[in-house]
Amino acid sequence: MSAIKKYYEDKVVPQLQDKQKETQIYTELAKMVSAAYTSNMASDESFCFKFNIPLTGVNNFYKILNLNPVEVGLNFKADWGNILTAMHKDSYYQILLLLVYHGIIQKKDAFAKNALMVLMLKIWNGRKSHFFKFCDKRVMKYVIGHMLTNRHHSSKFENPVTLLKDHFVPTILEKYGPEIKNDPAKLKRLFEQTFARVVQIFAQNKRTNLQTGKPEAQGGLLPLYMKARAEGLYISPPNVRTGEDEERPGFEEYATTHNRDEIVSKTTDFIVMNQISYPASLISDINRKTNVSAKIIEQILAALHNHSYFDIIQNLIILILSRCNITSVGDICKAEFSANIQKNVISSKNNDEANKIQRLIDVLLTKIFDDKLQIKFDNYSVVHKIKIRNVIIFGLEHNLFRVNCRGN
Amino acid sequence: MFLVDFQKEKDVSEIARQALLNEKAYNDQNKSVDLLFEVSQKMKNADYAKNLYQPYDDSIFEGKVAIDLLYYKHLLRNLDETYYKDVHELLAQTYRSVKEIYEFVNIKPEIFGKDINATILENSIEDVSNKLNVVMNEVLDNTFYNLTPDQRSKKYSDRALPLAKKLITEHNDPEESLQYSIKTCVLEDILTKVAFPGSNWLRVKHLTESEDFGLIFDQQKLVEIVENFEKQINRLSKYLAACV
Repeated sequence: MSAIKKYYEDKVVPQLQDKQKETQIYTELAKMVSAAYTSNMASDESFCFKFNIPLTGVNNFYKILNLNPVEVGLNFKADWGNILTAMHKDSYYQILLLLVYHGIIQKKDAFAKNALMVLMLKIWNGRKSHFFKFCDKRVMKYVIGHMLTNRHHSSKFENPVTLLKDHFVPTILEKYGPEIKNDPAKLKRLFEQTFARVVQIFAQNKRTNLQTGKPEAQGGLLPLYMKARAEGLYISPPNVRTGEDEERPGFEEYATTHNRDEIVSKTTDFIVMNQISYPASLISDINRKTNVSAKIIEQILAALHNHSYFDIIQNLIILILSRCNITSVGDICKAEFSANIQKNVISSKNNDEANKIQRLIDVLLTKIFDDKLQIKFDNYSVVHKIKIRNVIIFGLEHNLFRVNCRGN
Repeated sequence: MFLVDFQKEKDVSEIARQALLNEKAYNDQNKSVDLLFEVSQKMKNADYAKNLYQPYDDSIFEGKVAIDLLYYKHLLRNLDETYYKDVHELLAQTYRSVKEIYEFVNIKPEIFGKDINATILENSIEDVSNKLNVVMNEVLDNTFYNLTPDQRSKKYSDRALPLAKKLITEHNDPEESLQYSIKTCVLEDILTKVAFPGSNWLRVKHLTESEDFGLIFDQQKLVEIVENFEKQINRLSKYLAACV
């Protein structure tokens, strides 16, 4: 009997018989897919886009199901053999494959699809970074708009999320689902085929270049992108200046978005998935700066750690990092980070990003005030709302530092 | 002597008491809150001025302090040199409190005097001082010098009497003691207005008592800063009453 099947029946099924746990996992998966969908649709990076990977969220599935990642890994190894790459051994993929298996066995189509979609997000990011370390969205837009033939999948889909969700996920499950039902060891085939299909988007039909002796892809986005770049072909987006200090996006900006994505994803996941106790010194510092009472500060900060605020918190962190021009984790760990937040987020007014931050915090505070404090946030004057908003900003600043510089 | 059946009397009063209690309970049960009363209560507690204020700004406060100190320069022109150091220390403390209050309630600092704003600082110091002296003299005239002794007493005697009595018991001239006490009250009002012109002081006082504000903010801390400010203004006005 397959080790994965035995492990699934002995350890996973008893946990998932608890309908509450099954629903919780299904909801989390759906939220992850929805967040990926929303962020990609809102972005104009075309096929240069990188997703925010819900590492903490996926890791949390082990906790929900009381599974040990090492044990899971050993069972996969027992079925798949010894010669495995780091990807095969990655606990992120393994737990999601178990959930795909669960969806297939229990005929829960949406469950399997969402689990496979979340799995593909990470594969997409990995391959995208591998083939395009610096991806210029203007060049990519030219490639998608003018250089692809109808045979290429990317020409039929507007962005990566629809390509993955509407094409790859259903076709892969349709093709490999039946054989996995009979033999879960075939999950390896599904996994490797998923990887191969994403790779094909970027590079396919490799041949050795006789002049250089190196293998070069003949098809996929990569060779077309390189050709367009070499010929200086790109589609320039309309340059509308909307903010006081917005500059024309530079090439190096795309490198920084990868780092930011990781910071955003890691920090948001940490905030919404964990309840933490904030140090008394921080509470008293925020109290000194805002004059909001210590008790209320504690309640507001505690209320932040709620999955229903995922989207708002994620967007707030994206905006804060953008306002502060954070390009790497190092920028957050510097002593000047606080001053940077003070100058570019708290004191900054009358620009698009600052206005968005304000609107998002107001939505968040209205919910927190209604749900946790039973007070109407709108009862407070404009000037007092500013002070209350700062509690959220200081809280996010603390979490950014804590997650990225102190490792939680 | 009357013969009284105490037991019967007690029973009757118990029946009467029960009847009254029942009626009260019935009334309480059927008491409907008058809609108008409810609305009036809400209107009473509503904060209509909440969106009239702009947030605190450090640079505006700096301009305000510069102008306020010129007002003080005028008021302190006759100060006995022996008090010079004490008064200036007290003034510095007072303006620390003023800053704390403005920051706490987060409203834009205002400058005292009609048509006076920070732009006048672009003029020469003499011009600015002259303009401010005119404003201050006008205020002193309207609140003190142009009033008859009767008007002054009527307006300030309630507040001035405690200090006047104390001075009289220390063998000071009664008439002078009363005048000095009234001047102290006048100056307390003026100095508070200089620090918090327009409706700013009312706003501060409102927030020290506002229930909504107290739910979220450290209201007690604000009350302490305001009380401290009032004490400092009281002490300053005593020095100044001897100079104007």
